[in-house]
Parts: sequence; C-alpha cells; structure tokens
Amino acid sequence: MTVTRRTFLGTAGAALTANALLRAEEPPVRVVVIGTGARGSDLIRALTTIDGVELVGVCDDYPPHLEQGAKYAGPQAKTFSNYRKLLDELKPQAVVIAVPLYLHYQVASDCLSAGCDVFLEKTMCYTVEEARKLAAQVIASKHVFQVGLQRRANAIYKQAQAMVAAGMIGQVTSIKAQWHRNNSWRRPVPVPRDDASWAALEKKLNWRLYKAYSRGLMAELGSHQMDVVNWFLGAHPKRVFASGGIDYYRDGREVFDNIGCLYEYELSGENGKPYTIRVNYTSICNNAYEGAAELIMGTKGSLYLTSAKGLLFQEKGTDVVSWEGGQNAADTNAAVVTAGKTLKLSNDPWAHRGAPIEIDIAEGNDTRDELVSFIDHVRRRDAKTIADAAVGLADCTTILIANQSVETGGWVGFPNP
Amino acid sequence: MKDAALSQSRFRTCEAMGTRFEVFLHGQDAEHLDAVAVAVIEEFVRLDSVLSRFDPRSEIARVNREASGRAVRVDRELFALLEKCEQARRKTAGYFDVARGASVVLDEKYCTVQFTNADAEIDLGAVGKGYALDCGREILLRYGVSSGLLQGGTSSVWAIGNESWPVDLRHPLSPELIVSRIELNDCALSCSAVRQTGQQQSDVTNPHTGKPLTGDAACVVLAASATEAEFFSTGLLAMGRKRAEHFLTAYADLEITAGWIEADGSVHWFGSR
Repeated sequence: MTVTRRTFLGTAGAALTANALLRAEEPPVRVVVIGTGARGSDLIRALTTIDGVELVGVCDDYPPHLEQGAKYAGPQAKTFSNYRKLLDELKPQAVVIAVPLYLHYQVASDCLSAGCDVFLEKTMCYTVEEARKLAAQVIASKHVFQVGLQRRANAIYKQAQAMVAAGMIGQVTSIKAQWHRNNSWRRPVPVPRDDASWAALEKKLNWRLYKAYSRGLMAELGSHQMDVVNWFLGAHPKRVFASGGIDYYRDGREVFDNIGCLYEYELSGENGKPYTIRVNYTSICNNAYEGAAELIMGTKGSLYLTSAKGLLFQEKGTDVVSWEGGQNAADTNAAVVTAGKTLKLSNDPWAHRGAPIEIDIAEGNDTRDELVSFIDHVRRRDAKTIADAAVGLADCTTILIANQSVETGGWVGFPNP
Repeated sequence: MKDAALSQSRFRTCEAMGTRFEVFLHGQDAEHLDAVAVAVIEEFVRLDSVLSRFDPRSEIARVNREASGRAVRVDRELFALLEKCEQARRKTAGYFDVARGASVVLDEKYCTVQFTNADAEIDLGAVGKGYALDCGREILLRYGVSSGLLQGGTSSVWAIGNESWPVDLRHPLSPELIVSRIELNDCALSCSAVRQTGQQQSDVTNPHTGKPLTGDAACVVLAASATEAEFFSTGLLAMGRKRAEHFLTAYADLEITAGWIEADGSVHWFGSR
C-alpha cells in the first residue's frame, strides 16, 4: 500500500466543533462542576469557552479550591461546599465531576439519581464493582454519560485509530506504552510541616499518594493509555501480569512510584484465526527520557503517538528491496560486489526507522474537545458518547487488574461480568 | 550568600512558549521546595497551552483562527489578560499592541474577542512569559516560599524575597559582553531588544507604522509585576529613547524604572526608582 503524506489528512478534526455551535440559538445547557482542584479548574476554563454552555454552579469542600474555581467560573456561578445541596438547589442539566477517585461512584451515582447527565473524570470508579453498578445505573437511567478519556476526542488519536483500522500498519502484534516523568507527584501543602493542620491537609491534597483514595499511577495516568489500547484493538485484555513498588520515593506514600505491566489480548484475525497481542505498559517517576507515549507496532509500520504529535514509521525491508541499485536482487548484489568500494551504512542507531510521516492535524485542545462532544450529546439526548459507561468500565477493569496482579504476584484474568 | 536558615535549594526547568524557563528556590524544607518548584513548572506548561503562538492547540491559536468571523468566547483568565493588554495599549499611546495596530473588540459581558479585520492576529509572545512568571510567583507566595528566582528565556525575571539577586545585562548584539550588573530585590524585570545576533530584521514592530524597529538598542524595565515589565519594555522600545524618557517623566506614578542599552554598550537609566 502506498501511503502519501496527504492520504489520511483532514478527516477527523472539524466535525466535532461545529455541532454545538450550530445550536447556539437554543437555550444554554445548565452545567455545574463538582471538584474544582487542578483538573476541575481545567474543565471549568474549557467549559466557559464553549458556546451554549451556562456554568451555573461550582462545588468543592476545600475553600481555596472553591475560591479558585469560582474565579474561573465567573460571578453567575453559585458556589457550594456540599454537592447534594448544589443538586437540590440548582437542578442542573449536566454535571462535570472531578473529585478524588474514591468519591467517583458516590458523587456520580447521586448526580444520575438527581436526573443529571454526567461527565465523570477518569478513572471511572475506585473498584470494578462500583464501575459495574454505575454502568448499570447509567443504562437504566438513559442519561448521557461520558468518562474523561480525552484522547478519544484528540484529532491525532482519532486519525491514528482510523489508520490502524484501515490496515495501514498491517496486523498489530505488539504495543509499548509508558508515562515516565521525573518528579515526586507530590503536591505542595500551603502550611508549614510543623503546623497542626499539616498532616490532614497533606492527605487531602496528596490524595493520589494514598491507597484509601487513589489507585496510583495506573488509575491517574495508565487509564488514558490503556484506553487507547482497548480502543485501537477493539477489545479488552485477556489477562495481565504486573510488578510494582515504592522504589524511590520512600516518603510515606502508599502507592507505587514504579510499575510495569504485561497485558495479553486475544484477537481473532482473518478466517477467524486467533492471535495474541502483547502490551507492555510502564509508569515511573524518576526518569523522563521516554515521556508519555504509545507505540503501536504492526507488521507494516509503527505509530508513535502523543497528545501533541503522531508519527507513522513504515517498516523497511518488507515489501521493498531496499539495497542500493535497483529492484533486481541478483544484479544489485553483483553491483555491490564489483563496485570495489565499501557501502557505508549510517551509524545513527535509529536509521532503520526511516523518516516518519506526520499526522499534522494538531489543532484543538482535547480537554475542550471532549467537553464540546459531551455537551453536544447532552443536547441531542444521545447516549452514545465518545467514552460511555461500557468504555469506562472496560478501562477501569483493565487498570485495576494490573494493580491486583502486583498485590497477588501472579497473572490476573479480565473478570467476566 | 543567602540567609543561613534557608539552607535548602531546588532548581527545575521546562520548555514553554518556545523558550526555556527556570525556577530556583531557597527554603528550609527540601521536599516542600521541590513540590512547589514542580507546581510552578506545571503552571508554566499550562499557560503555554493557553498563550503560546507556537502551539496550534493553544487557546490563543483558536482565537486567532476564529475571531475574524465572529465573537469568540474565551475563559476569564485569558480575557482578563487581554483586557490588561488593551489598557497597556492605551497607556502607551498604542506603542505596546498585541494586535499590531489591528482592531480587537473585547466584550466584557460575554467574555468574547472579535477582530474587525480579517487578517488580524494577537501575539502574546512578549507578554506571555511575564504573565507566566507572575502566576509562578503567586504559587510561591501561596505555599510560603519567600526566596526564589524565576526566569523565562533570560529576558523575563522575577526576583522574589528580601535578599538581592544579581542579574547581568548582556549587550544585545554581543551576548558575551556584560554591559551592567544590577541587583534585583523583590522586583520583576523584562528586557526587549530590537534584534539579536544573527537576526537581520527586528521582530518588534512599531504599531503606528507597521514596520520593524531599526537601530540596535535594548530596553530593560523593572516593575512590580512581570506582566507590566513586559508591556513597558516592548512599548518603550517601540517609542524610541527620547519619547520613552518623556513618557516616564509624564507618568512617574507608574513606578517603573527603565534602562536604555545603546549599541555602544552604554546604559542610560530613567524612571522612578
């Protein structure tokens, strides 16, 4: 297959943004945000740029965060420290939830019960059991529900998914993904360590580091990337083996700062013949060399994906005779032998990759675009969101079985519902 | 050199807005300092995704794509920054202008931005670095870090705390030549130059003529906020030395200090401090 730079461009980007705008004359969708920390504030800022959205309320039980959220939301938004009061008083049409993971189920379930459409930050729930209950509630309620897996709204990932589905990298056999960085993942506390309120405040702000509130790196980072894998392969894993620990930051945290997972996916190929895909996922906190990316490896090419860049590397030496001189192998070999001059190959260790073809649709912020899509689904009463309850449940299960494997020290299968 | 009680220090860097930012903090609690330094870096990276003209995914890129045809909603933070830029444009008689002379309509009620001409564009290249440093400084204050130096692209600096931080001013066309050393004490600095070594034409335009600046001067401004320092280092440079001196005499209440660096390496200070 000949792939030119332009073959696949320009299909994925524009459609999403248009829909909500066309309906700008309709009454605005009344939205509230529950949880106004760092992520909640990102979502508030994005919501306030979307035509047809009226942000009527914000809620957080930590006053400095509520103050920050209110500042970004604007004076029309009422402030609450208790989300049940907010639901009672404002009766919003849609709720955007960005609270710590251990509260996801309770808050989302209460919002659905209050008759609201729900956008729930990833990971869907703290346990598989909760995610199943929530998914059942979503389906029974017929409300619009979306999990905050924003790569599903990212133009680069949408393009890449279409390329994989079209067979442009052949049969996918292996995937390598990682989120590596070099910092402690620790948030600062606004009072000195010897202050009486320090310990409680530290736990509240650094909830990601403590087991009772958090599922660690897999939930906060891996869930995005394992969702990409599930999405691209159109499947969930069959089983996983994982190893992790608190290897470097032995500072009182309870979640791993280093985890590596080996997932197996069983797919059925042409003529229904089954084949296995292995997925290597790692997340570490003390080296940023590899950054955050997924490498989708197929028999004809590789896709290197990040939120800001997508690169297609075509496999060399498969379909094409790549030796100097021409297409006829016998002539080529003879020519090389008789030329009398040693053919010099590049000593660049990455020379075998060749020049990439870039997916150059980079316009649009995926956090904003996932919310544009959610609001559009709310308006159209369309439950088939880009990351619905089924997607969220599969993603949640995928990352939680890896944590379970670390705890039990063995392979863990994907549980049947 | 520093207060003995501030025995710990932490240094972190990142790339944002097409350049390198640095965070250098002093304090007592190393773990806390590192967490604060990372929070500041994360803030710079966040603001890059809002303000960077180098990133087609940024908010300002979206505004530039869409605001010619219609009023575009922006978030309150960006709107407030654009309003400040508009105030600075008026204050400097149009010599500081993020739209380079094009007309931009800001609607406060709906937080929208609209261009009246089709080829208009907002460039926050000059002001973005200063704004990022101001936001970074707020994080230091919020988390009780009382001594630190934040810098972006070596042209924007916030020196925080009671001790002085030495800052060398380079000759704009001979980077190895130091024309002056100043001590910054709880103060922001911005420096704008007509051009730098290897650059044929200035990337700063005179908004009144639409033409790139000429001559080889640089203008350094000390102010109480890094955003303000950016407004005036760019605005005064566009005015030229004489007009800039008159301007600062007329507006002594601005409480800014400017240093004019001539091509011969001489530095001429004027303004309030």
